[in-house]
Amino acid sequence: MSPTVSKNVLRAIVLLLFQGLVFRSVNLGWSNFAFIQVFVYPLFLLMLPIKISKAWALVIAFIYGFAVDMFYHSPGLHTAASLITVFARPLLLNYFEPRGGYKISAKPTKGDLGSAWFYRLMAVGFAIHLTAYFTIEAFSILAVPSALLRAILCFIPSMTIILLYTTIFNLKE
Amino acid sequence: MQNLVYFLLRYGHILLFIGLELTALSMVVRYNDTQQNTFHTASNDMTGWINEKFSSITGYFGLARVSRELAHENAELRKQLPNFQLSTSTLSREVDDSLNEQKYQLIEAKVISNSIASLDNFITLNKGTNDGIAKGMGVMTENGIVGIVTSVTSRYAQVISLLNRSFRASVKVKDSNFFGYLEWTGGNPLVARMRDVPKHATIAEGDIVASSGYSALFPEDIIVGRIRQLDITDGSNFYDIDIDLTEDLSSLHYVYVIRNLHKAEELHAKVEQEE
Repeated sequence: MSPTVSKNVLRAIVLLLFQGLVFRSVNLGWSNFAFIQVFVYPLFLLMLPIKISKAWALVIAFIYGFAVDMFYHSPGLHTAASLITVFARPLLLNYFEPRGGYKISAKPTKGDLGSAWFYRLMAVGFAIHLTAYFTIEAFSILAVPSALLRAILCFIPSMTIILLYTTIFNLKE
Repeated sequence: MQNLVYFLLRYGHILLFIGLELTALSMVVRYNDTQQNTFHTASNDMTGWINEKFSSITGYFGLARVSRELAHENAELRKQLPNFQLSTSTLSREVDDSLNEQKYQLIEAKVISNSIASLDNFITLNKGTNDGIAKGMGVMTENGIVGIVTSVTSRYAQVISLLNRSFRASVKVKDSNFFGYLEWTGGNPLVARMRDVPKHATIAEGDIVASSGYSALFPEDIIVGRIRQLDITDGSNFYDIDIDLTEDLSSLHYVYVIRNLHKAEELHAKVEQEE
C-alpha cells in the first residue's frame, strides 16, 4: 500500500473509534437546552486525496458513514450526511482552489496548502455536514430552525477538537 | 453510444450520489420496528464487543457513585425485611399462599453503551437471551423507568431508551390515579412529557408520576418523576404535562431488566377481551 492509502486507512480507523467510543458519550449542554454533540469523523472525508475519483469518494463515504451508524444505532443517518459532504467536497475544492490550480502532488493538508486554506475547507465542510445531519435527523420542515441551531452549537466544539487534533498530529498526508 | 459513455464519465458520479443518497435516506425513513430490530441485532453483534471492552475501562470512573447508590439501595431493602418491621399481626406468614407468589423477577445488567444527545437514543446491555432477557421486557433502575428491550442477541440486549421519540409507557399521577402515557420529544434529557390526562383531572405541580402497571412491562408504582409544569392548550381536552425525571439517564451504569412471569397470561386475557 502506498503511504497515502495506508495513512488514510489509519485515519479512518482512528477517527471512527474516537467518534464511536469517546465522542459518542460526550454530551455538552445546559439544563434546559438541546444537547450538543462533537463530530470528528468528517475530518477523514474532507481529507481524502484531492485527485481521488468522485465515484470512489462517494463509495468510501457510504461505507464510512454506515460504520459510524453502526455505533450510533441510527441506520442511514450518518451515511446520508457523509454522502452530502463528499458530494460537496469537489465544489469546495474548486472554490478554494489557489491561483494557478492545485499541484499534481498537492494534498489537502496544512503543510501543503497552508493553515488558512485548510481550516477554511474544514469550517465549510463541517458546516455542510452538520446542517445535513441535523436536518435529516429531525426529518420535518417544522424542525428545521431547531436543527440549524443544534448544527451551529455542535459546530463550535467540533471545530475546537479538530483544531486540537490537527495540531497534535501534524497531518502530512 | 459514444455520447452515453461521455455522459456517464462526466456525470456518472452525480447518478451514483443520487443512488447512494436515496439508499441512505430510505434507511432513515424505513426506520420502523422490523428494520430497526434487524439493524440493531446486526450492529450489536459487531460493535457490542468493542463497546464492552471499552466500557470495562471507563466503568471504573463511576465506581464510587455506583457503590454509594448500591449501599443506599441495600439499606432501603434491609428496611423491608420482616424483622426490621414492626408486626402488628400475630399471624405467622408461613402459609404457602399463592397470593404471595412472585410476579416480577429482576435481572441486573450492565450498560455498555448509552447516548442522550440524539433524538432517538438507544442503550446496549451486556446480557442477552443467555441470561433470560427477551424482547419486550421493561428496564428500570432504583430511580425509575429506563426503557424497553427491543432486540436481543445471545449476549447483548438493545434497549429503546426513555429518551427516544418512539418510546411510550403507561404512567399515572400517583395520588389521584389519573393515567396517561409517557413520551419524550427531544431536548432536555431530564424532562419528559405526559399525555392524555383529561383536563378535569385534579393534579398539581410537584405531584409524583409513577408507572401504572397496565402495560405488563413495568410493575405498578415505579416512580418516574414529578410534575414540573402543567398547561392546557386552548381547545384541547388534555393537559400538557412536563415531568422532571428522577432517573438521570446520562449516568447509567447498572440497570434491572424486569421479567414479568405472568406476562403471557395477562396478554392472553387482553386478547380474549378484545375478541
